[in-house]
Amino acid sequence: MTAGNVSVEERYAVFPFYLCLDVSASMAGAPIDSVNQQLPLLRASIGEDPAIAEVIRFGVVTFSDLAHTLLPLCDLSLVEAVPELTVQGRTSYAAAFHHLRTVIETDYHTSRAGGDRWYRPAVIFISDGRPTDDSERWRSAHQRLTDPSWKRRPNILSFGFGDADPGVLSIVSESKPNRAFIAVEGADPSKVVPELMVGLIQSIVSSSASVYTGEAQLVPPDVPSMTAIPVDPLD
Amino acid sequence: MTAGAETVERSVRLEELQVGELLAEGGEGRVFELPRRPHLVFKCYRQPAPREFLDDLVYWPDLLGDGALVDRVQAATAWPAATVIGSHTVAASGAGVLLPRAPRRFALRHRDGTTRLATLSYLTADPAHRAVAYGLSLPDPVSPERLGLVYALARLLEAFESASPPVGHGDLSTKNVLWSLQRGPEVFVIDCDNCERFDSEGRPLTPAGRRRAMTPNWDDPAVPPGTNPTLASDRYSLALIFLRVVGAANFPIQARQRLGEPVAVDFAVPRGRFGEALLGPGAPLWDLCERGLSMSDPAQRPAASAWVAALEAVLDMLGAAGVMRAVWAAQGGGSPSSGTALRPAEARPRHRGASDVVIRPVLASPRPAPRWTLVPPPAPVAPWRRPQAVTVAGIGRSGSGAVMAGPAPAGFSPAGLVSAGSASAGSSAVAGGPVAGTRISAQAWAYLMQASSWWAAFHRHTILALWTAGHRGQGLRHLALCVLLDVMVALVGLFVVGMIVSPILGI
Repeated sequence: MTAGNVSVEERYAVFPFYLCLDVSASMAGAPIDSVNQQLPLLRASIGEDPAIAEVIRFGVVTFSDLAHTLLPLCDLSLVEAVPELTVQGRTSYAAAFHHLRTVIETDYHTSRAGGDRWYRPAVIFISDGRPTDDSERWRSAHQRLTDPSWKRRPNILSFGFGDADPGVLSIVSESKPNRAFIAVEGADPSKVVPELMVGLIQSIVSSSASVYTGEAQLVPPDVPSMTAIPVDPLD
Repeated sequence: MTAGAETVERSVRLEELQVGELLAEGGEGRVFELPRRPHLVFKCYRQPAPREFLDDLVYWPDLLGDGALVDRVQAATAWPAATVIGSHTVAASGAGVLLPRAPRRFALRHRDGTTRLATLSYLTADPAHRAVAYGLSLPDPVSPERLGLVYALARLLEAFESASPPVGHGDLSTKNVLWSLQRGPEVFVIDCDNCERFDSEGRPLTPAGRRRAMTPNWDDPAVPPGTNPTLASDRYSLALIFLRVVGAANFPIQARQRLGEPVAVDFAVPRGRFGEALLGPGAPLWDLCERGLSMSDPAQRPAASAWVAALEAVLDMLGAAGVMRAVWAAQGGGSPSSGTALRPAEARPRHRGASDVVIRPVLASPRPAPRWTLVPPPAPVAPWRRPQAVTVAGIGRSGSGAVMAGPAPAGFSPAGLVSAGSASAGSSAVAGGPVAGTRISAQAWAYLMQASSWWAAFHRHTILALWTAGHRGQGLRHLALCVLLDVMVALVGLFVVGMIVSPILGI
């Protein structure tokens, strides 16, 4: 292939999605059960449609005291089943942000070596609590993840329910409008989480369609039981 | 379509229909099942459409004149069978249309048993990937079956173009062109109520205001944003579908074309076919493709009949006349095209006008196999082993983590559909069993690092408190705790070292 030619090896640029999920002990019961019920549906909805799977890469990162890669970033059409989640420990945002930075950097270089081009990755951050690590620590990890000089810095959509703090989630999403969402007051987590997962599927499907326009857009999930956290204008 | 179309009248009242379950919902309207007419569905528009327009579409096949062409359209499309008149809509409006349902053979069964419509997307990538992902056995690039599918589509468009007035579909996209190889190559084009009739000058016959959007990535870049596709847009789609389906690749060319950049496509032809006069360098097929994709003069894009003749010649040359006959048998009968057959000796000189697109057949290099592996389901493990991964970040660590070792899956390629760095670890993690020991080590190591981090933070905090006026009392209390903690750690450490060393010393 000469420079500038289009060959059979040239594929569509891919849109990486990382689901970053709080699996601290407080997620036990209905919330984690809902996630475990919905993740196989997400895999089928994305992976079984070649037009969507072709342009979406999806990975699952969980965090409590530690952060783990539960499902490495992959083409969901090649995943037979999504691992099941269990809960444990506390809620270390720092561990999540540290881990995401490392994983995104590694995945990017691996994908590039395989010929994939990337759109800016998206992180779907879901938590039911406040960070249990001290403020300085998780903010420092967050700054590293969102460092403007880091080319692979992701767009972060954050979703909170239970004891999650809207102010903290707003910071997680870098105070950008329509990026941080909190469950409406009194919303039952057993209702919010399934809605959120269904919204996430729709978000990925819509985002995949935008990839084909050549101008990919991160389409936020539409979750009826959640409301966008307002963002103050800066002086 | 034929079964339903033969028995249904051309217009029905909504109240006469027994409407069943909702099958699909889109921007234009909703599609319902019809329990009494299983070969048809009812598409109910959100906004009633002009009755005259719907009737014109329903009756359009009658204008084809040639019964064989009518059969071709009925076999290969979900052509609107009847206008549905709503009880509450004004007399000049139609509530929707009855459309033929796609026969079952235009669906594919995946490995896991799910059934999906056979969209073009299955064909526009390496068949080896589709085999691993869905368990489908699809024909090789540049095979007679793939050429046959494009031939079937070209025959349909030939019928569209030969009528008076001609019609254009306007959105021949992955989801609107279904295919089957069960009875030989066949296509089934849906969303035909989106079609437009054109006059002899190429102007649409429907009054302005009707929006016909094209699907991104399958659209004609010569159509300005916000305007409707033309008759020539179907010709672009045919050339694009040839490129992607026969070449079994994405060929994302429209973004470059929209920027006005020239496009040069390296079309990989397998070694066995590269030497064929009608597929090698200089073959007229590439000239058709170049002109079909050209933006410089859409009016000069080759007619569908030219594709029909060219593909017949290629299939004949490949000794695949049986594929051609299978298309005729399945889709409206037929005989060799009346168009000019392109024989090697008669091949026209390559057209030089369409310089904005160049298709260059190149010898396909062998693709490494296997390029893809399936990520297996996780084996059941004890909950405390669940952290199956892999890269572990502990609190207070600056992003670095212990990477669990594990063998890369056999045959994993750097193509990277499962990212190698994480996939190798992830695959080993989900495989369970053999790597359990490694997983425990990784987990233990992570907890050790976390404990070290807490220990260091506690001592740092104590020193800071002792150093800060007003906090020295608290600092002294923490110092006492630090000493106690360190003594306990030292005792445990001595005990562990003693247990390790004592057998060596023979104690």
